[in-house]
Amino acid sequence: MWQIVAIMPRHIAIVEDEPAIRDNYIDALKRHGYEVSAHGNRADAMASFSARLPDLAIIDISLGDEVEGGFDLCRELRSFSSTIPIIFLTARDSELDAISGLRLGADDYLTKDISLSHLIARVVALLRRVDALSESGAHDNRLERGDLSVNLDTMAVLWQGQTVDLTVTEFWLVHALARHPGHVKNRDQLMQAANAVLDDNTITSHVKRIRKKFVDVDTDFHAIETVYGMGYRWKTD
Amino acid sequence: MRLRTQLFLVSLATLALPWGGCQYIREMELALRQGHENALLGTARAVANVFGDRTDLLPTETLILPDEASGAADIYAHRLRNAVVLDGYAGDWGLESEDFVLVRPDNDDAPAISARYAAGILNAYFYLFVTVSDKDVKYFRPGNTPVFSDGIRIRSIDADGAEHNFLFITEAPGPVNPFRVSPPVRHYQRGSGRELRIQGIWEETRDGFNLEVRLPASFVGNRLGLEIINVGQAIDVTVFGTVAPPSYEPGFVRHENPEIIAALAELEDPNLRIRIVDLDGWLAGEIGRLEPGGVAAYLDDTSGSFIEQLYLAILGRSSDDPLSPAAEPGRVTGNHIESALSNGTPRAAWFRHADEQLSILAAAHPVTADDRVIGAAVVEQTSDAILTLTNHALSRLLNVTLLASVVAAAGLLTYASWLSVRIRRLRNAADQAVSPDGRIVSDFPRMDSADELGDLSRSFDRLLRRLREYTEYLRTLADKLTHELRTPLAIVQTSLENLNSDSLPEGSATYARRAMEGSDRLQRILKAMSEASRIEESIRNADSEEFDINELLRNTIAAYRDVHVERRFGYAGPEEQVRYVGVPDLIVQMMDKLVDNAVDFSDAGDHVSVNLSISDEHLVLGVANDGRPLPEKMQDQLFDSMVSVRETRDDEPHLGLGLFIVRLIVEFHAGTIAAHSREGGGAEFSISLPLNGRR
Repeated sequence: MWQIVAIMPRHIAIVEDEPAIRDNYIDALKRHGYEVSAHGNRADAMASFSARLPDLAIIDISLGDEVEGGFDLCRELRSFSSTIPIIFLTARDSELDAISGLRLGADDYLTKDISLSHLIARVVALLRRVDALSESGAHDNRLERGDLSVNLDTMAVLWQGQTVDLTVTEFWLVHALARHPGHVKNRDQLMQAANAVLDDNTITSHVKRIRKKFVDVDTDFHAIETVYGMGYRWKTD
Repeated sequence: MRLRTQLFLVSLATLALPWGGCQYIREMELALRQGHENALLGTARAVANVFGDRTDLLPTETLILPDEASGAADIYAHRLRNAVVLDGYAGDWGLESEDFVLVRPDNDDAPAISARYAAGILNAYFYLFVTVSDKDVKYFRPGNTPVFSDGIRIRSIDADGAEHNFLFITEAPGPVNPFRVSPPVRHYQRGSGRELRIQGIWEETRDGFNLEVRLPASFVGNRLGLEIINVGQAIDVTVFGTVAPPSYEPGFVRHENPEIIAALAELEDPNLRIRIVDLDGWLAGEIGRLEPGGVAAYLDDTSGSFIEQLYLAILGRSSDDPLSPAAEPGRVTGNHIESALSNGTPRAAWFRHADEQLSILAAAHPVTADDRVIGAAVVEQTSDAILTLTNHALSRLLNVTLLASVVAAAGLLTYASWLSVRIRRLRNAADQAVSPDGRIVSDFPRMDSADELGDLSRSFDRLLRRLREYTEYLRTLADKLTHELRTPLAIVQTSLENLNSDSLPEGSATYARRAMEGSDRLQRILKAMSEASRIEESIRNADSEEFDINELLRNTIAAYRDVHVERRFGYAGPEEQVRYVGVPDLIVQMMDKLVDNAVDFSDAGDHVSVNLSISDEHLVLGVANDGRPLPEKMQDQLFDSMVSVRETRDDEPHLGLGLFIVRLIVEFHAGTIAAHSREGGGAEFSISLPLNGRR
């Protein structure tokens, strides 16, 4: 990874209306060797994006006067490129916002209480997935569990051969469960695996969303089992 | 007092209506009566004026018997209208039975013996009719001493003052002429001659005998006495009649004065009965009759029907007396006459007629001569109008006004009921709008009516609306605060993280670490604060499914044993499956909070017991722990948000959201929750979830 960065610094765009936070993110990302461009509002960001697309975009939802400017920006950015990783980083922690953000094609939805290291971990993971996709077949780091096929490089999940479109957080959760089928993973373990500080309720809603995505592909999906009071486990037939 | 009762009492005020009407009718009746009285008194005065100063017709003094005649009764001689046939029967006299005067012996020696008599005057004759009740009539037997035979004696003093004594005895029924007898013996003696000018008929009857006598008026003068002589079984003689021992002097003969009648004839009025009464109260002349009914009027003695009594009571007037029959024939009595004769005051009086619809009005006016009362003129009239009119008016008035009262009372009562129903509805709505724990749960039903109650309901509605807006604001305050705090906190946190990665001098690193710890703690607080609202949100999106709650609890408790190794967990549930439709995730979350709470309030080694039972279509879930009891003061607010009863503070922030979340979950499952301290220490939470009550 360091080699790649040394050769060609990745360009990350941050759209955030709060200067202090923006600068802190910029500093942290730069310290990890990324080239960072920052924008305070949607218009600036769009102007810059149309000139040059970043490798990854971190977007706040409310931008200045535009309460949902981030959503619009995400939609426009996605129209430029279907592959560019987009992360929502916002103070809004409602379930509804998370669902709308992910539905617009964002790759992850993070609240601002996430620590910088966890944020960096997600950036790294997403960029690696892009890399893996571009040089497909180079590595074959796969995990096969019955109908489930997990490609760790591309962070792609297949169920019965069909792609299940997961966010990074969701991917890590599925990976943590599927790696040791039958073992119960409690919430703390899952949180660690997902590089996130999440409360019980958020874990529950994440699992719920994951199940739903699998069920969209296969209505008979029952592989993720709730062990009440303890956590979840991956069940193989 | 309830509103309905109050208005009912108010409605009683409408009874003033009939009362007022009664007063009016009373006044009207009084005025009508007064008018009638005045008119009749005027007539009476006119009549009295005709006889004023006629001392030739009316004696100026009362007639007083001489001393020796005291005890003798006056005899009233009726004015006979038709010729009388001497036949021993009184049928042709034209008299009523009351016109016959009863006489009986003073002592009770012969209780079976009594007699009735009547006297009459027609032309120049004086008639006498005596009927004697005597089972054993002793006829005069020529062989016997005539003293021992039943008989009748007449004693009279003629106009010249001469005294006559006639004794009627007979050998057999039939015509009889009296013996003239003379004082002092006054009985049959040898040589007593018969008075042939006096004729009599002795007729035997079932009860005794009748004697009808006609004697020329010249024998009578103005005094006459009548004696009945009865001879009993033991040859004992009883004498009784209108005279009294020892003198047996006769009393006066009273009769109408033909001249007065002649004078009255000129005043005759078909509607009036006009009478002239002398100083002694004897009828001196009469013309006209009381129509209709005549004598029947005297006989009525009933006191009227209930309705009439009621009307009289309402009118505040005592019932009219019946026009009483005279104590004896020819005597005219009554307070009005008393008043005219003794005080010289004209006076009217009302009497009841036999016919309930009628009244009799009598007016008495004194007849004076030289300012001295010598008699009274009495005018009587049957008045049919007034009582009928007033009774009719009264009954109609009573009916109408009572109906009006009833309608008014019913109306007011209905109105009161309607009002109280509305007020009660308002009260119930107000009660229901706020739940026992103070939350505003339902919309307030606004009334559309334009009156004060409508106003009240609208202001209630406004009030509750504002209150709800305010509580809503308060409720979301935590959310907003969390949201607003998150950005500055992120600034602090990211700055500290950036700072950490740079190499810091030893001293500054300590402060940076402390700042980091503080911001971590702040973050945990924010997370906890937003947890409740996120729970609410996830509850809204939760999908119910059917599951075995028994197994779920068993598994959950098993997990708690691993997590909280220092507590001893117990679970008691039914053997079989317990199918329940709900959200298992939420149930687990609820259990997490309850168990966390139980663990926090107990010490190492204490029991935490969970039990599940089914009772009356409800799941009853209990979580009990040893340890400290619940604080008394905050029991009502235990399940509100941001209420913590923990006494000690540790590193982990306690915002008191746990039990609030429990309440949200229980309410989502349409259940109820209660908490109480256990007697042996510790607390117990019991949750009741309806098996079929999920919304």
